[in-house]
Amino acid sequence: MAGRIRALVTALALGVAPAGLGVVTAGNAAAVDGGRGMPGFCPDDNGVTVVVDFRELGGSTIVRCAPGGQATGLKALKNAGFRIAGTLRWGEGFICRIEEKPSPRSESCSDTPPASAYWSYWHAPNNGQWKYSEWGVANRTPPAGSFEGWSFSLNRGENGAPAPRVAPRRPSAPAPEPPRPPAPGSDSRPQPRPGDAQQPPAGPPRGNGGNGGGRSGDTGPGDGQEKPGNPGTAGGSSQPGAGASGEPERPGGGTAPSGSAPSASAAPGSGSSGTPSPAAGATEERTPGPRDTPTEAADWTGGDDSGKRVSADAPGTSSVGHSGGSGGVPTGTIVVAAAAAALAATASLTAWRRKRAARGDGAP
Amino acid sequence: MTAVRPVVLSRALHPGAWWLWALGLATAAGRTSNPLLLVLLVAAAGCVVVRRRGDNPWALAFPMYLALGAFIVVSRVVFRVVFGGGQGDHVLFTLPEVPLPEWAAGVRLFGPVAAEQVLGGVYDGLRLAAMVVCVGAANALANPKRMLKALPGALHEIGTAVVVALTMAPQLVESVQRVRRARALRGGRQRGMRALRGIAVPVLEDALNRSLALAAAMASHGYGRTGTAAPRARRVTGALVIGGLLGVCAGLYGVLGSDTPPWLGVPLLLGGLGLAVAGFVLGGLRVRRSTYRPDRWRAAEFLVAGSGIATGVLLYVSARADAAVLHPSLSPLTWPEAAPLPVAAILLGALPAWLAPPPPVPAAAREAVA
Repeated sequence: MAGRIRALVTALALGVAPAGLGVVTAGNAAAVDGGRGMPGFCPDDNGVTVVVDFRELGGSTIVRCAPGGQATGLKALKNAGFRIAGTLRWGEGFICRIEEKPSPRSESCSDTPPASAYWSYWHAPNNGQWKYSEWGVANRTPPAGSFEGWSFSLNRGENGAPAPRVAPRRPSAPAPEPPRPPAPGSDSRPQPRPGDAQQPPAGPPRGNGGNGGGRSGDTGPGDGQEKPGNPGTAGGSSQPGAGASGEPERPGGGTAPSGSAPSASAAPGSGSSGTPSPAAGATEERTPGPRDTPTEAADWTGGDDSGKRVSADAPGTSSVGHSGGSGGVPTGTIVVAAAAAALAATASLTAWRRKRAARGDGAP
Repeated sequence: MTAVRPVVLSRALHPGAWWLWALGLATAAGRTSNPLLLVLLVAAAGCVVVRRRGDNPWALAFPMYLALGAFIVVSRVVFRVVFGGGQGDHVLFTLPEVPLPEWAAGVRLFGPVAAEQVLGGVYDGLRLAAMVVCVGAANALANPKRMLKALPGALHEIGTAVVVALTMAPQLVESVQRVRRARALRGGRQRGMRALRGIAVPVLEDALNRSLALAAAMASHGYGRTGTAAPRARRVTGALVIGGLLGVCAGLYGVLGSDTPPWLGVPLLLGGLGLAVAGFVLGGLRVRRSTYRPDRWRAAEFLVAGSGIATGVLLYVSARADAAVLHPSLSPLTWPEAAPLPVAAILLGALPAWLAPPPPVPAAAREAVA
């Protein structure tokens, strides 16, 4: 018995070993992630645009681009720079968390999340309609230039998952990276998001930024789909009614954005990437061009935790601020591992002594 | 070995105490996927088993449970490697991917193997393995025959059947050994399938003869009598018990299902439990048994059961307070960390190794344990 127990201990130790290995790499990983993808829509069809709509989780929508061809939806999500977590049971074949949401407190991610609160997976061609994916995230290859959507579905029943509120439409005027004129973004928001930059054409004057903000209000489920306009692209300012109506001036984009701004734009969380969020709102498609600066203005006013990633908007890097750095093995880990080893050693020793005692008994 | 005489007299604990302890530990294992905590938990359970098991046949089965746990972990990892290709960023090595036809597009075989995949399998497997080991610990520590004595009186017929079955297994093994010895003495040389016929027939015949003998002995001792209860009373009791258990099943379904109407859950479960208990009580009234050497529930039993339950409860509490520690992140890969509360909870579960009274075993073994 002792022998077997000892073997087991060895096996456990071996099992733990890979963890160490992983850890070592973790540091790098974080660094790498930070540089992945770029904020905003993909400028052309060499890349897959990934839209994440947090909905009830707070933070609004985030649009990022995974440049180049993507083998699977999972790769696209990661290469766009999003941090994800799969489930313990199925690994990353089932996305449980995106950007730390939902938090571990409300969702342990040990098993498949319930149908009442999960990340729904969508895809769409450019200028098309969002379609609920019938494929798993690791089993679908997104075509170049297409859109991948992630929308959190909370208490919506089996067939009620809401489409992302950003229309799958690339800004038609893909200016590579025009310096944005006024650089308004920068001051008000720390995040200049390059994404915006891309769609410069429309003149700054355009109010579209504003409209983006406008819609912000509605979180209505599903609205996303119909409305084509995404802020960035479609200037859609048209809708007065909705939100921003009033101000064409990019509330979101320019000044307002900073959290305080009443305008919808405030969406804190999303900030980093050029989120088009307003897009949803913007019903009409305006012509492309407008700057999406406002994008960030997510619709989601309420975003409580704007959180972490906000700061970084800077292009790629920060947007999704990965907290990386793992220095070495935490002390607590070592202590507990030592305690486990001590317990196991005690058990092995006792088992060995019992075995020897039993043999001694039998021998005579 | 210094023979430190235990202050507490050695005795076998009430089997129920060991089962409560083990179920508490298993509950704790189910609440975490942190490999550190799970390994600690398995070590704690193993420590208690080694120090407090008896020398009965079932007490020697614990290594089998450890082996089963290892098998679970390995099979989870293999499963991840075979079907989980393409996940994770830290690729350890790459296996050639098997191309599959279009209709199998949802399945993917092999491909790059990442650290996240392997670790995910280890974490997931360790959790199940830890629960299996906990149950194995209870099996090794608790005497199943004495456990049967704790059955409610209404179930005493079932209990009798189970005792007979439990007794038959060792008898069958012994019967096989006897027949093989006899064959060897007679110079039987067949092996494999041909030898099987020569062994199986005598063993079955032997088992049948023994069963008949046992049945006759039990009948002569009064087992199987229906007592003085009227047929109608028996039917009422049976209906109550069966109806109650059906209610419990439906109620559990209602509680666990997400789409079932609320009235189907807790009310039905409680109602079913009530019915079943009433049936047991009614049925127990008509059975009068005397108990030979009853297992008493004393301080040590409270201590053992309490430590296991405390482990489960504390881990449940810490799952509320700090879920991130109990479910370490795999992406990004991080070291599993341990918080003081869950660690203390698990160490609490290891206390019976020292605090429970030692088992009644030969002196030499007792010295080894002490």
